[in-house]
Amino acid sequence: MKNRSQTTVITATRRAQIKSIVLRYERDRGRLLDILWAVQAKPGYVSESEGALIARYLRISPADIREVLSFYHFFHEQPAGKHQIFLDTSIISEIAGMPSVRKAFENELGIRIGEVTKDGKFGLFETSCIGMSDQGPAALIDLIPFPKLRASAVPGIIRKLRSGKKAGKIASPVVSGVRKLGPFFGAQEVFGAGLSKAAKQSPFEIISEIKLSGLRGRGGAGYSTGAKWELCANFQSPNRYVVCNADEGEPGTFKDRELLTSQADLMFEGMSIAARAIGAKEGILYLRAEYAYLQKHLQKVLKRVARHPSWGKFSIRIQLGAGAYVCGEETALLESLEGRRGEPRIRPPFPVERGYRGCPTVVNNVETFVLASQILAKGAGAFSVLGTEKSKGTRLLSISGDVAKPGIYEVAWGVSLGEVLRLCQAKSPEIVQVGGPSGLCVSANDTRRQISFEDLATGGSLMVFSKRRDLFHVLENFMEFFVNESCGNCTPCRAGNVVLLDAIKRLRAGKPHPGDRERIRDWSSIISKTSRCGLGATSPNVLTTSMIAFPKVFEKVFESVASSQIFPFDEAAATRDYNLAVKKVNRPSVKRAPR
Amino acid sequence: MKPEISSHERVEFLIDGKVASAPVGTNLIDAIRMNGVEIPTLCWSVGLEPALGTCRVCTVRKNGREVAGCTVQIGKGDVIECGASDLRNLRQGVTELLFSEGNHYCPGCEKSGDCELQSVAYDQGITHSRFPYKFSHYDLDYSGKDLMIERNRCIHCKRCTDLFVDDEGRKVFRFMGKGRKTVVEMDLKLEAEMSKHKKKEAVAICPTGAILFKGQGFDRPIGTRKSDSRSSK
Repeated sequence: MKNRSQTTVITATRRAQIKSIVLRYERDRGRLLDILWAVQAKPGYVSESEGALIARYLRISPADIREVLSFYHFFHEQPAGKHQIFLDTSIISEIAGMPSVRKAFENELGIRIGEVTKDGKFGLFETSCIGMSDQGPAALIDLIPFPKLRASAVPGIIRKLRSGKKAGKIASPVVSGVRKLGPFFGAQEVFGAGLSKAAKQSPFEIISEIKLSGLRGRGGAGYSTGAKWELCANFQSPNRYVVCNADEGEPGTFKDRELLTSQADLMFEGMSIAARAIGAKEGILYLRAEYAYLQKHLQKVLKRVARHPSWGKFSIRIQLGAGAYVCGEETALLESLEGRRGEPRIRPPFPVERGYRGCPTVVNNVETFVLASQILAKGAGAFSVLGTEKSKGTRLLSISGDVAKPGIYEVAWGVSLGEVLRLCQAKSPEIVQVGGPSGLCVSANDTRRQISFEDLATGGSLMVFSKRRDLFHVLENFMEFFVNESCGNCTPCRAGNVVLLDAIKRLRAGKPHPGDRERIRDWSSIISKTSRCGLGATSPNVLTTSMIAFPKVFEKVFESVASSQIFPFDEAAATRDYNLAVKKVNRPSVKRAPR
Repeated sequence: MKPEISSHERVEFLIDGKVASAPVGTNLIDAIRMNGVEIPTLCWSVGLEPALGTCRVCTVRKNGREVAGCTVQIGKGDVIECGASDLRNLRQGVTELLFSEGNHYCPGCEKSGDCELQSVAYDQGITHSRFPYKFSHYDLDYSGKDLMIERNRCIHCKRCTDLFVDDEGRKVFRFMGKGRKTVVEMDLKLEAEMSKHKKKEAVAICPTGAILFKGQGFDRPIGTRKSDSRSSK
């Protein structure tokens, strides 16, 4: 059983404080994440007795609180340190120097990953990509990003924190990752043009414009945005919601961080346009906890844009996540928004029919909403003229890894891989990983392949690895990510990814089991075809596509096994006795001739 | 929400190329079974609604796409594939994953012979798991008043967490943690208050031997258990 924290007596002041927090959210269980953030703020964790108290005020079971607490990375049930340090374990962070930074933190604090210092001042943890792959290795300290960390800087950071300085005052600022912007994200975009135009149009006209543009969702799945809005508008309901998915969790991507920083007004504008199109009065921005440092800025922008004369009757609230990659999946996100564990729902019904609190809901990515505002402002034609037949317009790429110029690039869909590698000045590239761990791997020599839904689809992440890198290291890091981020709801993803991770570890160690080559294919197909949501459906892809793109790397390992000492397992021989026994039992009884 | 089903409104569909029919809105697995085709299920069983779609053992192909059959309803003209060897392999693979993830030593289990996981495995002709056994460590929670949770045998189907409530409608079981570290926990206070009858229900809703009465072994002699002589279905 999980170690439960000691039952402690809660002081009267604390009790009153917790009560006022729960009342601030009107005893709404749906706002549980907010409540837990607020209760956790001071001591850095929510104790069992505090959880029980929240449960009492909300009139739910203490177990309801603990099942949510135990799901998210950034919630703690145990003392986790006054200052909480989360190191970014993405592969890009690792190859950029995280191992030495990790050691420096461990040495400086005298603890290992997952532990808390004896004085309770510091907790040291690891987490998945925090959206800083262009400025790695990075860490979050008290939810403030520390980019470009060096081992030599660690003692100074700890000393300053010890002396009482706030993390926000110590961290060097996050710099803009923009390298090249094009027609739709260029710096001169003005807020309000799209909104004013939408105000003069009917919902039908707005949706038609979006449909005409050919815009497809930028979150990764690529569903037609116009069709999504139309479906949502057509379901009967007194309430509808617009949700912006700012849970950019795919390792290697950071373009939404940039949009939230510099173009949040256009994103809110897109949400408002969507609200007009589907008839929604309320909107929610689901902001990943890793971007919590942007929350104040976003509030400020929101306040400003809502004053626009064409804004309409539409309010947006910002919901902070709590650390869970799977919440990027739209139905898991909705569960999280309703204050529960981020486990994906069964679909159908899709969110356009039954979404937030059971009402028709449009969930779109940050980039999609920015584009929607620009399509309204510039016209569908300006958008659809760019790109390919099935991938219209431009898209933002977050490029990281072994390149001279990591950062954000706006490219027209259909751009060749060669062109992308040239743009970012890749350094003797070997492996190109498109779309993050849930995407695929291609050889850097395949320069003619194109970035598009038709060929190499991507949610924005593009990582480049040079000849120096070990493909199996990359694959192991990705699979470990999936194992850590699987919600645990369905069998293939929860248990299957673990099996694949073990297999990759064997390959990396040069000790595959006989038959692993065929088994990996079989296992991958089982996981991807039977999983409940996109996480498990895509988790084996990098592995299987790597086997196709880099056959020699795999052959080398598989061949080594032929001469190794491992005894092959003869399944037929091992189960012969059993099969004989079964045959005997199942043999139809011999019919006797009637006497 | 279940749509109203009027029995005379039927839809026709195809199972492995053969024309079949079932009432409108029937659960896909139910519809298939009505037409004499057996598909194994673990998290779902007739009457256990809404479908949870967690175990994925009932994977079939509907109109060209793999889907957990229990999570969808039959529609007019649906093309359902069940018997293809690749689909059998998927379903069997998922069952085997459960065996490699947990620690299932059937001969010593109180539920042996009445266990749905065991029965599904026999039906699928599983002799061993193709996946290396994990032999992971799981704790046995013996802190309940009458019930215990044997986590070595839990298949995370969520029947107890999502479908079981006590007499006052309160959830007694919960999922804690995430991913491979997910475990079922029991609300000890509520468990202590539950009636004996309710506790029996809790034991019965578990498809394996993960939720059991403390101090109770085999309650039926070998030979009379559900799947001693034939498949449990």
